[in-house]
Amino acid sequence: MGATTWRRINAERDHRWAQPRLSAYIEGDLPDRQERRLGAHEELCPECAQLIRTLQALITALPALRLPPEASFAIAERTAEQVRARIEEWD
Amino acid sequence: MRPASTEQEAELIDRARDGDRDAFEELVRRHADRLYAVVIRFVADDQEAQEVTQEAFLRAWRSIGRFQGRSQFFTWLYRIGINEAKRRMGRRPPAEFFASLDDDPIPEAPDWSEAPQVRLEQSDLRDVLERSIRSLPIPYRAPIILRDVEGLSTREAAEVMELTETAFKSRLHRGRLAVRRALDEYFLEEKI
Repeated sequence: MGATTWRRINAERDHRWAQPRLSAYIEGDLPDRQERRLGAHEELCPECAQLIRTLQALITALPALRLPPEASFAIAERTAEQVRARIEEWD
Repeated sequence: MRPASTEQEAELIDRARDGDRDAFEELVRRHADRLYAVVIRFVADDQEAQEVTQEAFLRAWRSIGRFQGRSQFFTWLYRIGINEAKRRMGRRPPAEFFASLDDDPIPEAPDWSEAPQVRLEQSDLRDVLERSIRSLPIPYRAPIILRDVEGLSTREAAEVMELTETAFKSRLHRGRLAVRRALDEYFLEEKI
């Protein structure tokens, strides 16, 4: 089997190996050797490189879905009153 | 998580265990918004989320004597809240539990990682994200909500879900891929 075929087989194997590890890679949670392996694959694989970039963008964007502070305060006060009233009913 | 005086919270919990309603009310005030924010992504609407949040705190009040402090108070509370939300969802058709997870990337989708919309200033992209999270099967929805939206650590979030960290991370990753795919579809239509 020629060198080109081996490279292709290795690249495909690295691609499959990388998929479940992408979040860990983005978060710096892989052991050094795996991080280097995935980093090398990222340089060679446009599909994985785009997947990594878009996953990172998603992870960065998600905290913006949290409730704004004014809504948080209203919910806290309302819930406290409601729970208090129910507890007093029991008593 | 929002920083709070750990010592002060421990004191509130001790007082609540002794039946001090004022102490428990303070615990409700501190945690209700975050619990609501998690619960609303499991239930139908604001009304149901309010009911579930209330019920979770009432269950916590009834069982606070059994809270031994082996986990943090808020992880115990979140677990109660999510279990209550799941109980309500259990009354709905099983499709929500067993819907398949579509997490493969779309090959022809553009690279939207630098698109300005991803800063979520546009409400339509926020809607896409909310809808895609809500469409996740239950086992994959909670990790995204707890870890990526609400900012719990992996350890805290895994504890809420009563999973090992390894199992939690696996579900989180698959949930993220599915939501990411929803954005592939969105940006493909937007033709950025």
